[in-house]
Amino acid sequence: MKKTLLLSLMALATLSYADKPAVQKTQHTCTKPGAPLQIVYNAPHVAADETVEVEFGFQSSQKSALAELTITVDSGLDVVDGIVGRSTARIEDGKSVVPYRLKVRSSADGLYYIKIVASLGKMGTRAFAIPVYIGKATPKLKRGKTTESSEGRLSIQQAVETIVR
Amino acid sequence: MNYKTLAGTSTLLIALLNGCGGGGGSADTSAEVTISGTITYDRIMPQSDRIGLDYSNIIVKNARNITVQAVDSGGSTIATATTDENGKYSMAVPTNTPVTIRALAMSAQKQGTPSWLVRVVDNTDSGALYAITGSLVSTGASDSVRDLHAPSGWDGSSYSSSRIAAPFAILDTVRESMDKVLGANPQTVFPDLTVNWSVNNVSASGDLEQGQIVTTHYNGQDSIYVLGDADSDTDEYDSYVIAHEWGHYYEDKLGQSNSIGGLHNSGDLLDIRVAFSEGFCNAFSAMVHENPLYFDTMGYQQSNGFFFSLEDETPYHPGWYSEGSVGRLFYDIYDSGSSETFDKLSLGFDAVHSVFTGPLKSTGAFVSIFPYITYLKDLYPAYATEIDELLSSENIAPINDIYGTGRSNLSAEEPYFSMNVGESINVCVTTTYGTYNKLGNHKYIRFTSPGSGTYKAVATKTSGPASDPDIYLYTSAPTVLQTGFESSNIDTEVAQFSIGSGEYLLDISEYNGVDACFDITLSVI
Repeated sequence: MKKTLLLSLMALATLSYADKPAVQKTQHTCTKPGAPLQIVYNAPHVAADETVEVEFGFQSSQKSALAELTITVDSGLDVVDGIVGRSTARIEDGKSVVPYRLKVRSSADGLYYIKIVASLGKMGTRAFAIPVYIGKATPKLKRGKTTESSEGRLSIQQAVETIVR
Repeated sequence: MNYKTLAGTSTLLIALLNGCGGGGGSADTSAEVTISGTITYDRIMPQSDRIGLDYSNIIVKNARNITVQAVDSGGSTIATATTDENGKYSMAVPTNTPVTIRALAMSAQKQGTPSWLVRVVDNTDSGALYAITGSLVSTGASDSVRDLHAPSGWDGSSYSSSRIAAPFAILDTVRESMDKVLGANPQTVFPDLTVNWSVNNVSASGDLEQGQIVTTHYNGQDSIYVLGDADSDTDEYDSYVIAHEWGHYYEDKLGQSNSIGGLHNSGDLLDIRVAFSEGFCNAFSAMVHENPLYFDTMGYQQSNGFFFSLEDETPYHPGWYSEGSVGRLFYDIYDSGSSETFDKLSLGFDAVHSVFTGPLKSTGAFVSIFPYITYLKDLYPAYATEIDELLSSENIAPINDIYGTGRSNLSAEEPYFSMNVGESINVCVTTTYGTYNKLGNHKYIRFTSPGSGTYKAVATKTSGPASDPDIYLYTSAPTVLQTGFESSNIDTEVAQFSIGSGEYLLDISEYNGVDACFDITLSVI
C-alpha cells in the first residue's frame, strides 16, 4: 500500500482537516532552541527494490534566508538520483524556493532515514530525519544487553573495571 | 594487586587469583567486608569556539549521587549504596561471596527532604534503565576497592562501541541543574523525572518507541527525550541543551508555565508564553554552568553546531515577545560582575526561585515576562529602577502589571482583551511573524463569571480567508488550561462550558495559519 506522508516534523501534526490534532494538548512539549526551520516532505512507502522519490522543503519564520544543508542517507539506502552531501536551500517568503528531490532505493525491507543538518549561521542549526519506509519497514534498533533487576529492566553494558585488593 | 580490564574478561583471572589465596569451600556469610570505589564516566567537552565536540578533550568525571548495587551470582541485589559528591561509594558485603558491582543511571533520594528520583532509560527498549557492570568476583576475606568507569565508545573517528557514558553524562547535568535549585531551597521535593535517551533517537516525527522524538524536548508531563543520533544530532554532551530542557521541567513542576511549545529561536517574535518559557530555560542553562555561552553540537562527527550568548549577544528583534530578550534579562538579573552599564543587578537564583515558586504559581495572567517582572518588583522594590533600566536595554517599556499594559513597541500586538458576559468584541490573529506559537497567533480575552452557570463563547469570522478558529478556556489564578474547543468547522467555533464564579481567560487562535478577524460573543445559556 502506498502511503503518503506530508508531515510537519515540528508541529507534531499531520496537515489534514479530517484528522485535526488537538494542538494545545501538546502544550509543554518544549523543544530545544535551533534554527527557525521546519521541514515538510513527501516520502511514499514503497516495496524493496522499488525506487521512491522523496521530496522535501523548508518553512521558516525568516522571510528570506539561505540554509546550508548537509544531506546523508542511512547505509542500505542507495541514492538513485539527486545530490547528497553539501547543498543549499534558499528561503523566500518563508518557504523553500525549490523543493529538494532525492530518488532512493533499497533491496531490503526496513526503516531508513535521510538525514539533513540545516544551518542558518548565527540563527542556529537544526537536524532533521526523513523516514523512508521500505516493505515491512521494521526499524533496525540498536539495543544493549538487558537483564531484569530489582529496579526493573536494565540495559546493561560492561564497565572498565579496576579492582584493588 | 591492581589490574584494569573490561569486566567480562577479568572474571577468569580473578577466580584463579582467589584460588591462589587458598579460598574455596563455602562462603562464611556471617562476616562482612567492605567494597568501596569510585564510579566515573567520560564527558566529551565542546570545542573552545563552542562549535562541535572536541574528542581530544575527553575528561573523566565522577558519577555523583547515583545508585550502586552489589549483585550476587543469582542476580539478587545484596547491598546498595549511593555515590557521594566525588563519585565514591562504600558498602558492606558478606565475605568470600561472588558479587558483581553495578552502577545504575539513576539518582534516588526518596526519604525526607530534599527528595528526588531521576532515571535515564532507553525509550526504544521498553524503558530499560541504563547501567554499567563489573565482573563476578569473590568479595574475599578483606576489604577491597572496585572502580567502574563508563567509556564514551569513541575510537578516534566514530562511536564504534557502547556509548554508555552518555546516560551518566546526562544524569550529571540533571544533578547540576538540581543543585542550582537546592542552593535556593535545600528542602526541595523534586517530582520524579525520566530522561529518555537512545542511540536510536533521531530528529524525525513518529513513534517515540522507535526513537522518532523530533528533537530533544520536555514532554510536559514527567519526561525529557534526548537525541542520540551520531553524525546527525547527539545531545548527551550538550549540557546546555539538557539543562534547558530540565528548566522546562522545573518551571512546569515547581513553578508555573503556560507555554504551548513549538519551534522557537532567539530572533523570533513569539507568543509571550513561549518567549518567556524558552528565554528562561536558555538563561537557566547558563546559570547552571555559570557561563553565558549556550552551545549545541551536531553534524558529522558532531563537528558542527551553534552557540549564542546570554550576556552580550547583539539583540535581534528585542522586545517583550522575544526569548532572546527574556533570556538576557534573566541572566542579567542573576549574574554579577557584568560590564554592561545597564546591568546593575546581581540578585542570584533566589530572584528566580522566589518568584517561580511564589506568586507566579497563582498569577491571574498567562505566565510571561509581564507577571514575572511585576512580582520581581514587588519582592525587590528597592531595585525597581534598575529592573526598568534592564527592560529598556531590551526595548521593553516599564512593566507595572501582570498583563503588560502599556506596551510602547508593537503595541497593536498586545495580546490581552477584556469583555463582559453578554458582550461581543472583535479580535484579529495574524501570521505576520510566523505560525502556531508566534506573536499575533493567539489573542487572550479576560472575563469574569458572575456566578456558576453554563456559558457559550462563539467565534465568528468577520474578515479573512477560509479559517478554522479555536477557543481554549483557562482558569485564572492559577492560570490552567481547562478545555479546548477545536472543531474543524469553517469560520466558526462554539465553546460551551460550565464554570463557577471568578476570573477566566479565553485563548483565541486560528488553526490553518491564516490572518483573520473574529467576532467573539460570550453569553449565559
